Amino acid sequence: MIAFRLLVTLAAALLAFGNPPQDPAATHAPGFQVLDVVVDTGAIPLAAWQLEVTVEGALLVGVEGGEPAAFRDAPRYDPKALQGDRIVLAALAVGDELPRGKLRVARLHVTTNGSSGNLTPVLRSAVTADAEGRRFEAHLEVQASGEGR
Amino acid sequence: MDDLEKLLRARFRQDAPEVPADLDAAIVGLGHEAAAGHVRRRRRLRLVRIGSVAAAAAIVALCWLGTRALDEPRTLDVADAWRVARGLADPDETARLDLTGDGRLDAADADRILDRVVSLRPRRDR
Amino acid sequence: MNDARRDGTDEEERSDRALLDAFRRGDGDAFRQLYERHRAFVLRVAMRFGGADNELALDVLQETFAWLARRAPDLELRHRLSTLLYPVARHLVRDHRVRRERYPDGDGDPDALPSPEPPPGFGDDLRDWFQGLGPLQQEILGLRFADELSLEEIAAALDIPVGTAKSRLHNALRQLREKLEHE
Repeated sequence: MIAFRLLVTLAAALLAFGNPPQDPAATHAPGFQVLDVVVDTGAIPLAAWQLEVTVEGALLVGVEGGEPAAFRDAPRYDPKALQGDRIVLAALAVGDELPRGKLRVARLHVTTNGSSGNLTPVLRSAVTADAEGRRFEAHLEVQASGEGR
Repeated sequence: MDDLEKLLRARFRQDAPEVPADLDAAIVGLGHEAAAGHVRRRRRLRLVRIGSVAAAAAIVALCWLGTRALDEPRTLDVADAWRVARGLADPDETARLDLTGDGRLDAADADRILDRVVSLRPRRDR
Repeated sequence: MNDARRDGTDEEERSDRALLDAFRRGDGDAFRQLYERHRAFVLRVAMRFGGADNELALDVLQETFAWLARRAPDLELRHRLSTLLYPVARHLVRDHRVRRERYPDGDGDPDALPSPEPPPGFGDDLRDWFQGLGPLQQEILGLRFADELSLEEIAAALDIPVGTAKSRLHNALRQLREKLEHE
């Protein structure tokens, strides 16, 4: 089997959430934020992916699936990750219809104490595999979703 | 060498098992085969010992032409799980990927691999 | 630490390199010499990381040299061969344990590399000190006093700077010296 070590370019987007607080009390009010996990595979079909994300200053409270049908179910994660700031996500698709291009493959829900300011997710241990199970280089990032509240 | 080093040298002394002659011969024989080009550079190779070392030479005779895989030490990842789930894993990888221990690779193994991939159990960094 | 006593290292290092080159050129006897020279080292490492398990050590021995036979064309030898064999043997111990224990329920990470364990005759008086050290220090001590590697070789085997190997070793010995003085 030909296996390629994955060299994934990781980018963490600086996240700015919500409007500036209106008063001191609001500064420390809990807030919910939504982060999109986005993989850009270029022209290569995506069969599997994994990623470790740390979001300092936030608590992970939920994980949901992505947009393409192949990755619509929530990815696998360790339940202990919820209520922490670090999570490892992994998902695979065994069907023949595999998506390619820029894909939102999962969504993370986090809470902040309202004083966290810009969140900077740190990504590591990323792997993406193509339709033959070979690792390939893809661009992954975690970015603020348009659905942040 | 000071006394402390002498002390440690003595304490670290460890009895190693005696290597059976047939295993010695098998490993040396492997070297000769490799030098003769019978173990091709890219061919995966593994010697297999089953239970008793006495069986090693016979097993090696069958296997040293490169019929089994010796995988690079590598942490399991989602690509491994995918290949197992799709039934595309190399049979030579069974030892590494058969996490259920039933001697075959199937969806249950893929499931276990995924569990291991996402586990938050601490990894000890050097 | 005085490394002058390791004057013979260079000769052996050249010799390892020469043997490896000869093996690449098709000399099977060169492989035998490398095997005989480093067999005891690989067994010690396997015993140290594998909990003094004889069967595991023999498995690791053969797989380490199978790895060498397979990978010899790609290897670049800058120190003694043992510096290359060390991480291979250690990973193989880990792989054997994973296979054996499958998917343990405990908190230990099955993919984590094993830590060295002192030999059965290490003695209770020093065991607490050893187990209180960090894993890197424990590895350095094993390589230094069980395997008699030089600091440069230890650094190469562990892929760390020589200064780090030296300081960690120094600190571990200082701790032991203080412990012994207080007893």
